[in-house]
Amino acid sequence: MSSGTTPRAAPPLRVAMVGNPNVGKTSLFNRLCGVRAKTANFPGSTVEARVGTCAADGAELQLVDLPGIYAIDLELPESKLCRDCLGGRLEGCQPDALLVVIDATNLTRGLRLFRSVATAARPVAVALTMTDLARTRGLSVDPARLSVALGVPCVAANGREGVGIEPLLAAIRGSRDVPATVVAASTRDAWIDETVLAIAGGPNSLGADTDRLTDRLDAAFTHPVLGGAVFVAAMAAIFFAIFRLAELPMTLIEEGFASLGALLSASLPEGALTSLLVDGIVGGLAGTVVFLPQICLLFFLLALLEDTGYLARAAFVMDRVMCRFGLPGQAFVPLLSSHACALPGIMSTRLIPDPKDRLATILVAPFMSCSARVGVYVLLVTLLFPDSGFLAGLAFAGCYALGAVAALLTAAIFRRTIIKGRSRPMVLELPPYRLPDVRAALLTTYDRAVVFLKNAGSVILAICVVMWWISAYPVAEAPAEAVALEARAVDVEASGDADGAGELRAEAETLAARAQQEQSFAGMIGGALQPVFAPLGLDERLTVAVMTSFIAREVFRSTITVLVGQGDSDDDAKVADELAQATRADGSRLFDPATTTGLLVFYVLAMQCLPTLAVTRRETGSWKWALLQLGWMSAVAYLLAWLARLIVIGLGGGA
Amino acid sequence: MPALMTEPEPIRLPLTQLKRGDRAMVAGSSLSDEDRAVLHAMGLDERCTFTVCRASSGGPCIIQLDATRLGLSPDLAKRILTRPCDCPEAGCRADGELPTAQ
Repeated sequence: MSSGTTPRAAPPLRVAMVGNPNVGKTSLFNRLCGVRAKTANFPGSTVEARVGTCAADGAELQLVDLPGIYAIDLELPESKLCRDCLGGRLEGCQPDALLVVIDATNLTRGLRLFRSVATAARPVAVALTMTDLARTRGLSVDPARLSVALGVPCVAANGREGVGIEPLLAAIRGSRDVPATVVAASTRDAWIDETVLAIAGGPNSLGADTDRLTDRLDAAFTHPVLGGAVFVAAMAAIFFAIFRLAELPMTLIEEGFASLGALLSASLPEGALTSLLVDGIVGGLAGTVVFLPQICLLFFLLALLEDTGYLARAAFVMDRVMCRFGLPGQAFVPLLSSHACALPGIMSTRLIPDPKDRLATILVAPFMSCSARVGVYVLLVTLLFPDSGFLAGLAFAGCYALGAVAALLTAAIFRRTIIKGRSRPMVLELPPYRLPDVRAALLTTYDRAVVFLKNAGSVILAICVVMWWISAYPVAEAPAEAVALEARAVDVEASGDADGAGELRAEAETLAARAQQEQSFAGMIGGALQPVFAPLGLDERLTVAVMTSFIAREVFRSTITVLVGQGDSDDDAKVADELAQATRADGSRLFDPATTTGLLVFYVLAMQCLPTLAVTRRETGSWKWALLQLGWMSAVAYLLAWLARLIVIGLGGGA
Repeated sequence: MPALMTEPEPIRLPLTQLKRGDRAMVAGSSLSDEDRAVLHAMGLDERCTFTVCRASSGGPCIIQLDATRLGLSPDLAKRILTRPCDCPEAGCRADGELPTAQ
């Protein structure tokens, strides 16, 4: 007879996966959980774990893929996270059992870790990985004998090939407390070597002979010249792929959002809500989500490259250069990625193990010239050198160089001041060379894309709405001139000249947009701040354009063309020609060489990307660092723009 | 009266001065406790012998330790003192006894 209440399902068994780096732990996790996994960040920690679920014998298991560690008692963030997890101090992550993943080719190190977690008073199971590699090295590591030696279930499993997964799930379900006799025995120094001897014939049989092919590849990839050339080629190939392959999906996303905006505009009544939806939400999200293809490609290609074992070697090549500026070799990839967009660049700093190195890299990454700056560079460089393609090209390249130099010098300053302290010494385990696991790379990409989209859908969306509001309110009355033009357009249309009417209406719209820009809160802020920007030669219109481009740099072009009365156009040369004619109230050129140079320097160095600030906050776990980044970059940009303007004035380019 | 015989001091070289193919064991370091703990956890301590795969004073040092390859920056490697040895295989000793230097 039913009691009338539905029995509550038993909570899933939560299992924490612990293991050394590069033992195939994450491959097992991916095989078990697939896409049913998400990245979990924990307050106060810069390292993350992945949490996923899988079914075992009809019951649900929750797996926590903890970061790879060499020892649990080290003063490193990943060791601390594991200590907290195993000690039950991690909110929502208290494990019921442990799965210790041990590399069969490196039993000594695996057993050392097993010994340190055996005292955690939780049931344990062991997964023995790399048994195929051990076999090729003439080793026979018997999981059954290891199970007897450790007193807990132990099975061989291979996540990459999906071998031994069912027995592994059964072993997890049958996990047991480590027997007290084993815990006691494991405290002896000789226990590890005795155990290895018993199950694998002793430590000296563990394939210590070096591999000639690996030696040769290592010699090439870490060679000062050849290694550098290979690295440049690899990175060039990745960036070519990112820019080329992402082009089509980015266009499709842009067009998709544009169509959605047009559809909403057409189907909803004109008003504040429609403006919020179309200009604030759809327009704002479009500006961020458009970078999703680049982000996916970057993470997919980096995951493949990392899986081959090459990236660990490349880190040593770049370490020679980067360490002079207080950055590790691993910082090169995130900095290079930031040339596409700072968002994936900052997200990819997770490759950097040392938290201080990682923080320094995050703080300087937005100095690298991202693709959003390109439109502004093209416009300002064309205004500076309208008749010399060579000088324009040189100035364009100089913008990239200036950004990179500013990033490196900032890193050097920060590492000697606010992020003082020694970096973790550069010692890396060099994984064996192998073919990459495409499935694992796709899962990594999926995970990163979800993180990015969640960020875009929360913090970035909120920022977009706020920025829309300060640009759209208060609503400005259309100026009398615009009303008159509209009336003339009606007459002209009635006379049969549709083209003429269209031109008049476009002119009227430009005047109305200019009035809105000037009278909105954003415009008022720009007007109030004009005295601050006066030393850079900026009048009120340029100040408004600079302030609105703190939303995103690419806004500069459309704002300034509207404000000086030309109306936006896709033709760079035409826009530059028209802007070159623009004058100030006193009749002097608005874009004189000194002001344009200062403006160009400002745009190279200033932090004008709110989504980047949001990602910095997320990755550093604090607004403090995001605001420091904004303040430092703005100050450096202002100061150097002012200096650049003074120098050009000194050289006679003031008018 | 026979002359007092003393054991010669074993040769200790920075890791960066070893050559490819040399086998050696760690014989001390000027590392901080924290760095030493990290290297110990990675398997590189006074109880182990290793084979040099790549040594260079200007570039990274690569050593083979059991089945693991470790890359060390030159700054770190030059602070690790080693004692070259002629052990047949690289690996950890079960009893913690140091192999005799040849």
